[in-house]
Amino acid sequence: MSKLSMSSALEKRIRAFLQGPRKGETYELRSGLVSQYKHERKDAIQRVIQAMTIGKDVSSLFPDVLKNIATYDLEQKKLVYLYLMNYAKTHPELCILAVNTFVQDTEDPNPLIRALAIRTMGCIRVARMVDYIEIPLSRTLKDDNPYVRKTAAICVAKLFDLNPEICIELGFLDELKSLIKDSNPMVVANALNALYEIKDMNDDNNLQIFIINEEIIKNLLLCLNECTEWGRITILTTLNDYSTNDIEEANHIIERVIPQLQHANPSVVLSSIKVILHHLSIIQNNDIKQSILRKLSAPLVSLVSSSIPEAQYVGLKNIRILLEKYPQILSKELRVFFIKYSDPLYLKLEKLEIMIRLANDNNSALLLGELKEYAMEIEPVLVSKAINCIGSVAITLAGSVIKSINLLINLIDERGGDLIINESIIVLTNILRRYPGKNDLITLVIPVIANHINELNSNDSLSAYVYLLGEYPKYFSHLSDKLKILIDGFLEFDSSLQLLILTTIVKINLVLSDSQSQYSNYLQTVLELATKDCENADVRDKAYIYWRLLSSSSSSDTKHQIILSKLPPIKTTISSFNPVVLEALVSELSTLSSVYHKPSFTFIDPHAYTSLQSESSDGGKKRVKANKSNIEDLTKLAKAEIINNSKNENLLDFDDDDNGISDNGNGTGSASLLDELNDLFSAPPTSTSSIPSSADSNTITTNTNGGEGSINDILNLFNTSQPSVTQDFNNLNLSNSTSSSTTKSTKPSQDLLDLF
Amino acid sequence: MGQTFSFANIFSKLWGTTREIRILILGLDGAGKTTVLYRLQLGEVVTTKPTIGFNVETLKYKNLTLNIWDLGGQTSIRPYWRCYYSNTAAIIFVVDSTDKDRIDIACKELHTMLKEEELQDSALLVFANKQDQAGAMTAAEVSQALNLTDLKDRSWSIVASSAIKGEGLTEGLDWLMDVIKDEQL
Repeated sequence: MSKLSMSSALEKRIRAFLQGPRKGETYELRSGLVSQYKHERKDAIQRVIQAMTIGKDVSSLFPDVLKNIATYDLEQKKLVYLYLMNYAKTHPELCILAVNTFVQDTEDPNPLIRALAIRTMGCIRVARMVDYIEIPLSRTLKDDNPYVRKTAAICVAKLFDLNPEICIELGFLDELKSLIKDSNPMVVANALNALYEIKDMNDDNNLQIFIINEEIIKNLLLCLNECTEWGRITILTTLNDYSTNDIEEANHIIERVIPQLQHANPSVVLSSIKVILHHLSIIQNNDIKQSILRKLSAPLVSLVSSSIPEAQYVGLKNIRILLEKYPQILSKELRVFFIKYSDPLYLKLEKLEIMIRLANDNNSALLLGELKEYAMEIEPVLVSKAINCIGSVAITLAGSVIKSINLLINLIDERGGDLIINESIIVLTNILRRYPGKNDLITLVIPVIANHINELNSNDSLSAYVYLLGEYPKYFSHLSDKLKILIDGFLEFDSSLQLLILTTIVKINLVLSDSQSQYSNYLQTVLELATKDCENADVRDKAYIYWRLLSSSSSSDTKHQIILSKLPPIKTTISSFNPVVLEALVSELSTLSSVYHKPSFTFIDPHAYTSLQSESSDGGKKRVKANKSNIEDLTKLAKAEIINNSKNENLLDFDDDDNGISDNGNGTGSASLLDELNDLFSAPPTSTSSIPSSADSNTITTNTNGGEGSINDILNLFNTSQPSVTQDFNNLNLSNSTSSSTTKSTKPSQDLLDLF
Repeated sequence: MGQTFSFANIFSKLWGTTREIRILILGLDGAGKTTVLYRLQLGEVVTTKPTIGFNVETLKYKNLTLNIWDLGGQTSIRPYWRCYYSNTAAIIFVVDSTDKDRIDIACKELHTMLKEEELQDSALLVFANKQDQAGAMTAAEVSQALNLTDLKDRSWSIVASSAIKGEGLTEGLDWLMDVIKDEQL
């Protein structure tokens, strides 16, 4: 018998020799993975992971890597687990081969391995895994080791995402809730986090995920000091969601949270501030309130002293919100916000925003001196912003007007340059609009402007000058010459400037008509130019209105009343939030909304989770197949497939040639493909907007997602006009809820067709 | 075995790293594969649950390092056996001798498996397991039911065993070691 096998072994060797060595990296790796030597296997695994991390597709090695999962070598186990998490979706049916090892590992004496096993098991987003997770998960949730328990807690959220029904049925949600009362703070924080995730994922309105009560809050406050920064943030978020009417309790919460203000992590600090402000609202005693508010200034200052500019920026954005709600909170801290030469530009601009909001009579001299320095910098954006800030100071603080004006005049005289002159003149005009009719200011400002008329080249500064001309004609010398220049160039100006010139000349005629009749010539010319030669309808209409009014028989008093009515003085040039938005922003402090300065509902789709889920089921085609694919799924699949295909085609073409014509043809092709599809699935593009939302919303959502991707790709081919359309699209996404998602799906294809 | 002669092999022999010999334990669900594995490795009976996936243990036996794989035998997992065939020196096929109803299925699975090209050179050891239970078929009966005599070009043997009592396992393994050593040389 052995002789027989000897000969067959020889035969195989010959066969292998004749075939020659099989080549390729994958082949090499595969033979390494099934090698008879331990070190070769480990080496091969390392190389596979290496290839995986640089983005090579090594999913074909899945079964061979999986064989190495059962090992006592922790390092190797971690690598295989990592591979498994990454590629589980490519081989969903093979994943169950790992189950036995997972279950065994959750019984391992080493808590690290127990935690690793349950974490990886949770990370495998394969439906069949759910059947086997019950035993290991319930075991690890009751583990003696807190690290294992907290890992299992997070795994419950993952299970919920995969299959909410089973998660609730097997009682994992209740077990998770009981972990909030765990003795270990780390477990408490992670359980809380998992519950929040579940709350976000949950689309069943009848399901109460968790209620925060007094008892839980007490426990959370005890844990707060022992947690990692992540844990603290989670707990602080919970404290912010909790409202109490009991002043004692609110006081207690604030007292407990105040020490967190010293934390090194800015997010913890901001979250603490948010909690304190939230619970401050029910405290009636004003003294206590003020003393607590005073405690907030030092931590806020600490946000700006971070060494990372990005973190500083986030801090500044949050401070701006707080300043609006509590303007006094940082009144003594102006110096902290001074610009450093090394700050990136975005930080400088944001600091300026804070500085002008901190301006008061005590610090105005210091602030103006500082602003003057910034106005002499090189960066144009910073210079114009600084000049604007000087104006803001003058407009907010009546006591600093003269000083600010002098500062601007100095800048114009000493520094000069187009940018400074143009910006300063806009700002000076704004200042005059804030304090109208003040003789001392007017005599100070007008001559400076008059000296620099020839250097005005921006539309805004010219507008400012023309406005002043109409408002205070008596202060300008050689008025007639100045008007002549404006009228000569009338047709070349921007329409907004034309409108202003028109008004100004009409005004001057009314004001000065008694003394000098030469202006009526100008009036005649300008009205004729505006009505006959001007293309802009607004300008023409306005001219006609003036003309009719002036030639009407109404008394000159009425004309004066209409034409010379005074504008209300401007109050501020500092932007502020709408009160509703402000409330929303304060309650969402230290989140993305505070950086965007937009409440979260404006940029987070409430159905984000649901659409994600439908997308994932879309990706796992095999799963869909296993789920006895119905027509809907098939439709979805087909759509996604075709959209993907058209996307690929486009990308390929983009690589091959830059020929506009061929791209063009291609683009229309895919757009019409989309249209055809829509026809197929009973959603004709022309009438979709009227289709009621009863159409299966899932289908539509996925379709839209896919569509958006491919549209963007197509648009990428045409560098022109992309932003506007994309923006359109984004706006749509923001404003539309699912009910109107039907419009979304066809909008891109229509837009596209418009493009061609 | 079709082990190619390579530098890696020489070096690992020099450095004293041992080559592992792959052995698969296969069979229908509930035949006692996991019990056989741990009886061989630990020398004791462990309580087992149906294996979803596989167990693998390394075992030193008569100067050889054996890498023994116990694959789950449930119908749903059987198709994945083929993932493990490459580089396999021997197959231990465990049969529940009391399960007369499913012996035909066992026979079918065994012969389908042996047709695989990757397993042409592997030795086959059949354990007629669960001999401790009443009504168990003898080794000869099992051999007949499995049509083992039809096997050509293959070293094979059948041993009556009881994994619970530890009977027959070492005998079977001893035979396997002899065959493997022969082939390795």
